[in-house]
This record gives sequence, C-alpha cells and structure tokens, in this order.
Amino acid sequence: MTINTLSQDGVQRQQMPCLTKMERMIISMQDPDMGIKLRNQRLLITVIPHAMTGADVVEWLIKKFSISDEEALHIGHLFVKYGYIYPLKEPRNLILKADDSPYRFQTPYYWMSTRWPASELDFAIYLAKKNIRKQGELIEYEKECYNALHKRINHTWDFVVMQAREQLRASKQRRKADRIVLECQEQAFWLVNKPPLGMLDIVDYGPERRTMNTRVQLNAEFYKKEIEHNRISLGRNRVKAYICVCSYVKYCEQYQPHDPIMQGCLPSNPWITDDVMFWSMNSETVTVPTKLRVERWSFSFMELLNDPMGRKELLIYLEKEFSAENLCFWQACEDVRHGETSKIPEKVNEVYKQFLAPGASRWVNIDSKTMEKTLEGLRRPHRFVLDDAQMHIYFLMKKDSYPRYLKSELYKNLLARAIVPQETKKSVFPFMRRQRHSSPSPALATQTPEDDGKNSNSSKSNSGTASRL
Amino acid sequence: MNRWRQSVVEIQTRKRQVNECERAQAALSKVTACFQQMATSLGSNIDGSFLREELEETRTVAHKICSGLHRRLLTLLTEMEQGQEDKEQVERLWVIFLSSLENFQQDLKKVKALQEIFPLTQRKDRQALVNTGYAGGTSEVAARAAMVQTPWLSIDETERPDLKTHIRGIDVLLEEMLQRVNVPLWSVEPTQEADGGQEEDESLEDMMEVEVVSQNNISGCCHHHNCKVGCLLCLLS
Repeated sequence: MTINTLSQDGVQRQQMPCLTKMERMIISMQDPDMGIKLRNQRLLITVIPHAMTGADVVEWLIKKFSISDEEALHIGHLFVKYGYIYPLKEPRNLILKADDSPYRFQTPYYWMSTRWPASELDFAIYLAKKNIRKQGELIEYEKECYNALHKRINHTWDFVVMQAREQLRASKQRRKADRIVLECQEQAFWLVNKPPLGMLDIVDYGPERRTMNTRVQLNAEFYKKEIEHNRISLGRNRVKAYICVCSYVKYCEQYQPHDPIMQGCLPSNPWITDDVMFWSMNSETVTVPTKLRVERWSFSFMELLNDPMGRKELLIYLEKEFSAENLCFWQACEDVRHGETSKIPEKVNEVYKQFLAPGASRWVNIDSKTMEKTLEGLRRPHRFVLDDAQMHIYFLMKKDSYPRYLKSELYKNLLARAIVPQETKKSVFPFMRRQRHSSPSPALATQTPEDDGKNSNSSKSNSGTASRL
Repeated sequence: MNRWRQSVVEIQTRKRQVNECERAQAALSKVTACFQQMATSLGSNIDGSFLREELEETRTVAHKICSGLHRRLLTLLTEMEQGQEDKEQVERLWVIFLSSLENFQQDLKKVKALQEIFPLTQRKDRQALVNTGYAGGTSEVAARAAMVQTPWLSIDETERPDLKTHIRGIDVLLEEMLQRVNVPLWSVEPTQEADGGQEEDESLEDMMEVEVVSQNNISGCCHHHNCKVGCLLCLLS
C-alpha cells in the first residue's frame, strides 16, 4: 500500500458510539417541524441559507432534551469540537458561543469518522489546492505539514498535484455561493482532523483494540450463550450490603490484634528496628510458638492449614483419632494442584494407590458419587482432577475434626504454653536509637565506575526519596 | 536485448500505448475529482435520486477507465525489457494509478456508508437531510465527468458492477497489482515541483470579502485570521 493505512487484515473499524449518537442528534435537528431555526447568512450580494446562532443551538437542545443551560452548552460544544457544526465568524476557534455568533451544519461527507480517518494523501491534496490557488495562502503550520508531506509521499506527488488541480476545476463548476460553502466545509474539516499545534486534537483514538471488531453471528448458538450467561448472572449469590459490612467489621475486629501496623508487633518490628527476632520467633520449626499465632488457628480452618506448624499439630491430633489419612490426602491433592505439570500423572497415580483404590493402606472416606466421578477422571489425569474429592475431605475435616481439635487438650496445652514475647527494651537514651537506612538503590549497581563522582550525589538523593516512601 | 533489435513499429506502438495511459490517468483524475465533488453533497439538502444517479454514471465511467488502464499498465510493465527508456515513466504512472485507486476506493466506501445512513427510499427520509447551505446542484460537475472519454478506441466489454462489488473489485485489483509487478514505489521521482504551479484563483477570503456597509445592524467587524484585504461580515437575518 502506498500511504493509506486503512484496515489491516480486513478488520474494519467501527464508528465510535458517541459519534453515532451525535449524528443522530444532528439529524433530528434537521426536522422541518421540530428542528432548529435556520437563518440566512448575508455576504453583500450572496445569500447563503441554513445558518444558525449559537444561542439557537443551545435553546433547541434545552427544549428537546429538557436539560440545563450548562449541559446544553457542553453538548453544543462537543458538536463544534467534533466538527458537526462549524463557526462562520472565527473558523479557527472551535467553540460554541451561546450568543448570536453564526454556525452552520457540516455536510455528512465531512463528518468525523473513526472508520476511515482522514488520510495523509487527502491532506496533501487539500494543502496543494490551497497553494495552487494562491501563493502564500498557507499558514506557518500548514507550510510545515506541506513540506513534510512532500518529503514523505514524494513518490506520489504527481498524483497529489494532478488531483488537486482537477478538484479545483471541478469545484469551479459550482455556483459561487456553493463554492463558498464548500471551502468553509473543507476548511472546518481539516481544522478538526489536522489541528495546528497547540489546538486540541480531538482525533485521538488511542491504541487499536483488535478484539473490538469480532463480527458476531446472531444465530441460535449466540443467543443460547447469552441466555446461559444471563441465567448464571441472575443466579449469583447476593448478599445484603448491611450483612457484608457487618462481616467486614467483624473481620477487622478479630484481626486487629494481629496486625503489625495497627497493633504493633512484639518483640519489635524488624523493618523499623532491624531486629529479626520477630521472624525467628514465628518460624516454622520453633519449639514454642507465640500466643497470637496459636490463637489465630481458631479463627478459621484455613488459618490452621496455612500455618505449617498448625498443620503439623493437626496431624498429631488426627493420628490420635485415627483419621490422619484425611489430612494426608488433602496435602497430596494440594501438591498435585500446585506442582509440576509433567509430574501430575505419576502423582495422581500415587494418590490413587495410597488413598482411593479399594483396599488402599490409607483409604479416605468419600461418598460414592464423588468417588465415581473422580475415578472416571483419573483416566485422563490433569491438574484439577482431584478437586471434588479434595473438597469433600476438606469439608469433612472442617465440620468434624477441626472443632474437636480446638476443644482438645492438645490445643489447649499448646495455647497455655505459648509465649508472649517481651517488647525489646527501649534504650535509655531515646535519641540514640538505631539509625534507619534504606538499602542501596539498585540503580547504583548498574552505574559504571566513571560515574563515581555522580554516584555519591545520586545515592544521597536516592535514599532521601526511599525513606520518604 | 537492446533497442536495436526492436523494430521501429514496436517502439512506436509502445510509445502510443504509454501516451494512452497518460491520457487515461488524466481522465481518471478528472472523473474521480468530479465524483468527490458530488459525494460531498450526499446527505445534504440537495441530495436526491438525481444526484445518486449522476454518481452512479460517474462511477461507471471511472470503472471503465480503471479496468482498461489497469490492463494496459500491467501489460506495459510485464513486457518491460532491460534498460527500457520509458521505465521511469511507466513506473511513475503505476504509482499514480495505485494512489488514484486507493483514493477512489476511499470515496466509494464513504459514499456507500452515506447512502446507508440516508436511504431516501421514502418521502419522510428527506427530513433527515442535513441543511448545509447549498443552493445549487451538481449537474455541471456531472456533465464535466460525463464528457470524459477513454482514450482507447476499442470498446471493451465492461460489466457495470454495483457499489459493493466495485469496492471489493478494487481490493482485488490492488492486491493483484502489488503482487504481479515488482515496482519499488518509493524510488519514483515526481515530475511536478513541490508547489504544483499556480492556477490563480480566488481564495476563500477573497470570495467572502464584503464591502464595509455603513448602515443597518452591523454586529461588528470580525477579523479573519488570514484576511489581508477586507473584513468578513456576517449579517444574519
């Protein structure tokens, strides 16, 4: 293709919806009964019809849509900005003045279109026309564009000049009044589509979105999908806002003592004091856990499972109850879900052999329907094939084992043994507190040794910003 | 293969053919310019069945020239030999024709869209037409286009495609052109100068120039940006 960057791969752009709406409004303005009041524009001997004042436009909008002054003015403004109406007095000033300033409708050929944006070729022809008609007619900005285009599409410049000449000759066939109208229209079109620097460029489409233009076949399949989609949306679980808020408040109250920012953390916040005691006291393999940690296990079953220590404790308890296989099964399922894809078949096989096969060493008690479905799915194992069974066992544990664990001696003892760490003693001289310093900026690591002179300056400024964060 | 081997007749024939193509291109420009002129009136208050008919006629003429020119240019380019004298000229014609086709196709698409927005099948559709300020018609423009004659003498059997087929046909033409002939588009040098010469004419300001009238209700003189000569007065009644 030479210049026109029209549709790629035949994908047609759509007209922007707001433009279609504006077009509809413009058309309704033309109604002979309910439309806008039109006047004549007098230029000495020529009379050109179909002009209107800005005030007319605003008044019509207010009456038609029952809106306020401000809104009507804003909409009228949009019409002018997008080029559906152009001003006659100050053509380069694309605003709507709600007084007797004259305006006229733009012809549909020159309507703003996102389907075929104004091409460079057209612009070149327009500028060439202006230039041919009268030397020095082009303003500064247009001259620059003209020269740039001359360079860029130089190879087709003959066409540009030829077409420009022919268009001029064709327009000479029209009567004078129409010629004036045509010139005004074309000028208005280019002011909107190729505004000079500094003027608002309304034609900013943003990045192209390929998926927007997929043609949808309005057939039975499509409607079936739509119906299904809407049905699911209707059936979605809805919660009253009040209940939502209550549960949120409850959650916040419950977790507040555990929040390091709200409550502070003991012994001290490592990020502030550089003392990592907090982390070491809460690690996986500590012998005596902190009280807060153990308390947290009672909030929900997931809290217990998410803490590795909690999981271990639960396992000990379940072994006593002879139902440890449940937890082991659940863990194995987690491993399948979050593990390597290539190992899935063998893992699933293991799970089957250990937990699901009849007569397995650690057989888990799953209801027959789920078992059937799972066994069926095992023929073609994938990441989520054990989901149903895992869910079943999870709820089993949650309803049965978990409450009993919380009431058990094991848990209570642990809770009693749990410690509350002491807050690190604040130093006697408060102004001798450890200096905070941010870690060195990663940008420094990439700078060359030659920049050493700049390094020290930048590091200072860097740490400044970091500590402010 | 050099020109000594070519007979005089062959050289003359080729020259004639190239000139034919030049004239055809000029004719095509004329027709497409007229077409564009008329298209600007679509959807306006002077739109009507007459205008649409004229558009159809013009489009047919353009189609005739296009297909003929396409065929001849293709032949000229494929028959081109090494060190052909008119290589540059023919390649330039090729590029101009390409641009012409693309430009015309754009207009065709716009026309199609506009005709869909303003169908004019019923009486009340006329109410939707936009009052743009036109007073006269486009008959003279149509006449200008109708006067254009294709330079070749033979009457090629031409189909009269409808608008949609025409647009798609141009797509096919363009693709074929780009595939069959390997012309480096960017290497073509234009013959025209940058400013395209002068054809003295009135500018917009000149046309809208109005003598300063002394009396009745002049809302005030407004200065047009570029207006060097007079004032632009708009009296609304």
